[in-house]
Amino acid sequence: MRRWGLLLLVGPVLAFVTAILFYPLATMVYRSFVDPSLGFGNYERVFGHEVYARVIWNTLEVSAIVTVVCLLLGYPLAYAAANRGPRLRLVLLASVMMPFWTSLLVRTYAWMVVLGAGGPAMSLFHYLGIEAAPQLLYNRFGAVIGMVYVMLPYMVLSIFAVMSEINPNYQRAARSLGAGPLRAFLHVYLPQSYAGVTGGVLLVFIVSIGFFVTPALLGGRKEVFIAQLIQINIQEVVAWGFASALAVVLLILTMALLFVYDRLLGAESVFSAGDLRGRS
Amino acid sequence: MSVPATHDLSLRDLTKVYDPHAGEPAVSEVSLDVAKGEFVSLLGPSGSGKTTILMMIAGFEDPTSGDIFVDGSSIVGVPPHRRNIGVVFQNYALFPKMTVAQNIGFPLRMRKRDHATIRNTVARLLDLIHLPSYQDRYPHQLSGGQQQRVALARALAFDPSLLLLDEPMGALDRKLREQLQLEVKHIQRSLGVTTVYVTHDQEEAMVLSDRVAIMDKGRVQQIGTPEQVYNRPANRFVAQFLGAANLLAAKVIVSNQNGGTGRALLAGVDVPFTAERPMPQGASVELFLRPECVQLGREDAAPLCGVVETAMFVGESTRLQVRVDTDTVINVTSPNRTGSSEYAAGERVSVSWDAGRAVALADESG
Repeated sequence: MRRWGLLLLVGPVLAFVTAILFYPLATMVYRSFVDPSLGFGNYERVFGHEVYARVIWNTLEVSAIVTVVCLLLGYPLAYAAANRGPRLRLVLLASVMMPFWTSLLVRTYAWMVVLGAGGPAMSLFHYLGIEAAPQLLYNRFGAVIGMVYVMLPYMVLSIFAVMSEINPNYQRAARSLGAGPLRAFLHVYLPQSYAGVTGGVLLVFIVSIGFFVTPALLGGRKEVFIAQLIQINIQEVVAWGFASALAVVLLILTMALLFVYDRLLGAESVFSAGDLRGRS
Repeated sequence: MSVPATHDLSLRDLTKVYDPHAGEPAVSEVSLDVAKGEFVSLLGPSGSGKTTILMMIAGFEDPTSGDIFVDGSSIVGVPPHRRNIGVVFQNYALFPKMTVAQNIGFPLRMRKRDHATIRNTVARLLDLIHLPSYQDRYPHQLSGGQQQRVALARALAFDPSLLLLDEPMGALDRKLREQLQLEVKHIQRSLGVTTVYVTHDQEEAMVLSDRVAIMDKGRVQQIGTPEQVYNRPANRFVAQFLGAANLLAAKVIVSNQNGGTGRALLAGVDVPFTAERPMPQGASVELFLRPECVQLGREDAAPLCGVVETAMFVGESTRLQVRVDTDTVINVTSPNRTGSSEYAAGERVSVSWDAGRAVALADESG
């Protein structure tokens, strides 16, 4: 009887997940092998042409840059929010969360205005007397700026969740035991905030790999992401089989990264993004 | 470790104001001298300012005014890591990613001692706290009591000039606490380290301390040996904070000398009292009287008589309430020497006490 009760409770979720996740996924994998003809043709194309390898590499490289920039900006921000008084915390977290309340598309177009010709960034260069103003849009710089802007909240919140659970007495204890502020931070605080860092890095990197809108609009023709390639093949070329193969490659890449990360840092850090196991 | 650390501590008019617009300061003009090797407790309810004082001594809070001296020189403005003061925190703050040995060795590593010295010191301290084979455990693998002892060892590893403990036993159960109290006391004695201990547990403070400073509303209400503060409270707060107390309204009829006895009128009867300062004749006072200091007798054995209203048998003693007057009830704790309660509810009894056990306090009720 109890087993039936359990099935009744879990059943709807299982059916839902099967219908909207596993079935399409299976169809996608199936398609990548049969469309347009049975065999490995689509995969041969993905790995056989240098241009596709370049897109994959570009996706990984830009995502890695975005992740590092998010970490460098996000860690101090989360630290200040977690350790410098309730008022500052409110201001910092609110300003980080604000972009969440606006459409991704609107935010991306906003960056096009800010960075584009005649925008404030260009006016600043002009004002400073810099004649050969660098190109800010439709290149890697534009893509990274836009993506960091979108991904920063994930990094900050992931680190903040762990940091806010670190008792201030740990750093005090380190200070009382003879560690200066820097050494107290490096020896005691940093290791304890590590779970938040690994979680945030993973989250940002994996979401970045699948990015579409922002690199498409800000990155220009040279900074093509896998997701763009998939979109082109579905909507313009109508090569669903090839698009499916690309999607499968993206999926396997993500899972491989998860696996490596897990091996390097332990399952705990992978599956505790934002979880509070960082404390003792 | 070999040479006992002996330093003294002086607080002078120490004041801490967090918010100038809020009423009273967190700590207000606290002056306190702790002798070399002495164990002093700051005892008070939460919010009385005791932890703030500790944080100022350790250097985590700056005093608004006043000064802190160790060995005669001021340490205000010295950063915490240069103060050489050992602190045991509430919940211990053992570093979770370090082993027991790494935790205890941490202050020595920060002082760049060589590996052999660190290893030897850690081994000696682990022996001292009776955890000799625990060096490779992590804090989460230890029980609360073991964590507490490791935290103590870590705070002592660098021969601190002072040892500060902030409610270190708050999270432990009663049995373990009693056992650890003895251990802490033993270790403190054997090292002779000057110690300030913050607690809200009066029994703990009395068991451990050479002297106890009772805190309330940011001020020291009284400082003295456990016997002094328990038997001769300076005011109503101290009387009521430490254990059970009768506070009985009375009027002085024969004034007393300094520390001598006088006589007062209580419920229309002439009774003896004592007080630190002379109480003028006719003054309204409150007589402080511990329930266990009251002697009961058969009716008319003493001038003050009353009726037993309730008698509760609680094992080693019986708690009685004796009404001596329409608005005066005296709480009495009577030891059960014969194995049963001698007095029952409804019985008329006489009430008396040694003159030295009733302390007249200035009346604060009006």
